[in-house]
Amino acid sequence: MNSVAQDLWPDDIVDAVSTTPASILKVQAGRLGQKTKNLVQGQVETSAASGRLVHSFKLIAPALDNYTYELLRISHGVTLYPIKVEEEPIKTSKVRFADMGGKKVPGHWLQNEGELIDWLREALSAPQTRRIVGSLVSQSAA
Amino acid sequence: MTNFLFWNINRRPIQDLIVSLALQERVDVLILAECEIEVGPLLLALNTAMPVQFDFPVSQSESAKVFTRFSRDFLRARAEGSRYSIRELNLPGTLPILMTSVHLPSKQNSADDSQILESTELARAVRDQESRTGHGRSLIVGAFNMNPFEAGMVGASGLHATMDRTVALRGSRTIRGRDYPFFYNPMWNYFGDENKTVAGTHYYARNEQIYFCNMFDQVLLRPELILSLQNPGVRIITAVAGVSLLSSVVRPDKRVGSDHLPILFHWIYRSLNNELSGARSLARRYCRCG
Repeated sequence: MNSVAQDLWPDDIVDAVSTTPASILKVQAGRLGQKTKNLVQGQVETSAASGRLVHSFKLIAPALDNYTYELLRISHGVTLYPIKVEEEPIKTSKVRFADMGGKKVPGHWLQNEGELIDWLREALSAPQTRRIVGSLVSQSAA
Repeated sequence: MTNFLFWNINRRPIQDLIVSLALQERVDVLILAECEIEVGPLLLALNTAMPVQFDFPVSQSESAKVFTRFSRDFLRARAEGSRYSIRELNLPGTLPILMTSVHLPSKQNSADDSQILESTELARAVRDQESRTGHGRSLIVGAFNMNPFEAGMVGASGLHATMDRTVALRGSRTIRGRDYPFFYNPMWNYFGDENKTVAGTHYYARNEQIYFCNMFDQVLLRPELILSLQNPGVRIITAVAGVSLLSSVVRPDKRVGSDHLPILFHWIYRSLNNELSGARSLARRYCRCG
């Protein structure tokens, strides 16, 4: 075979990552509407800023003139992980640092899909989240 | 005329000072950041001392506590997050405006790029509400924890706030095919100590790169609102009922008040016709410079 026409790509080029962080958030956003009879819905908005992809998870109350509350926000580069948590409903008084190749970087970082899911479970069950969703459901139903 | 007052009170129990300040300046909309005073007792104190009754409109955000002497129905939250609250102030007989209160992350807890990202997301949220309400009568007030010259404040994809009202009156600028609307930032006028008591709203001297005096507390206005800001625009308050908020070395004295000084601005009601014709005339006068 002519060497120029050879396929130089590895066979597993698309197998490395199966689920993106955005799609993980979108699944949970979709489930919120089911749990609240659509009085409060989840929505994920993606944008690009400072060379990173930013995913914002919002609560929307259609009966309250589409009132919107940004519950959490994450960002990542083209490699998907590590993810930086930009906004979260989990209260902490201490400044977090991550070890990035021996360098201490300020902020809350998630290194892989497992850490993202664990963090998301905690964030969606946090007292702050329960308070806001409960309040929006009550006001919407009133 | 409506009087807005913002104060980052640094978690200090200074209820009496706040009430005196609201009374002294005839405040209509009182915005308090880092306020750990309970809403009930503060409302009671305000409504005991004041000839008008304050209300506390519903909000999910903990970015700031907002009290108003108007009915809560006139100041409804439209979009919020833990660091911002975008509300529509819709007073009878006037055009509605969007009032965003903010308390962005401090420099002690976040890197510069995080502050820039925060500004970008805030600007996006404000633009989204302007688009939904169909008008650009919008202002942002609060503790930005950045100086007016920092990237998050001046960058096009950030808050895009300029020191020059004639530039802001151009409306927006186009960069690589995308329009970025301006804010006008009057706080640039208050830097430095010439002819003034203080050179900023906050004093901090512990970082490596320091300015000592900072203008972290600011108000930004869309061009549509520039003419509604009564001169002298913004006042940095340094005394309340004869009590100085400054130490003997002319810094915000947190033993008396807070480590931040309050800022006050006056808003004049204008009809839509006045607003548009005034803005056009000012733009014609100044915008020949290209």
